[in-house]
Amino acid sequence: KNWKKPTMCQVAGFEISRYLP
Amino acid sequence: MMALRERAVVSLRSVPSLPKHVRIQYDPLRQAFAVLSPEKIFWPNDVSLDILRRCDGRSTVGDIIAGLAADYEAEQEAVATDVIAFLQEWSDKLLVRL
Repeated sequence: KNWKKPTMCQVAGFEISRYLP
Repeated sequence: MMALRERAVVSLRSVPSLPKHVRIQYDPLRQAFAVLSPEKIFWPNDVSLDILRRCDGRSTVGDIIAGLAADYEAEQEAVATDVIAFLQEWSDKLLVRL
């Protein structure tokens, strides 16, 4: 595995409903 | 005068963990892991995911760095710089508890 900088993209309400019952 | 939360600063002896409201969940649609917290979703790259998975409330930052450097066969100094900056950023954003 190659080490690279750790990144986290934040997703915009719009998507979150997919994760709710 | 309002009291401000004292900023937690990452050290090699810190023992990071994920707060109860943060979880890592697999999204079969994208075939990727998402980090879920109330009202926010993040897509971590594989290195970030490896770091977060080691934030188990038992390992110190020093342990995590040593483990990752061994796993990735990478220079410990480079790994340490990135891991400490990553944990500090996400501790400041309340996604990681120190």
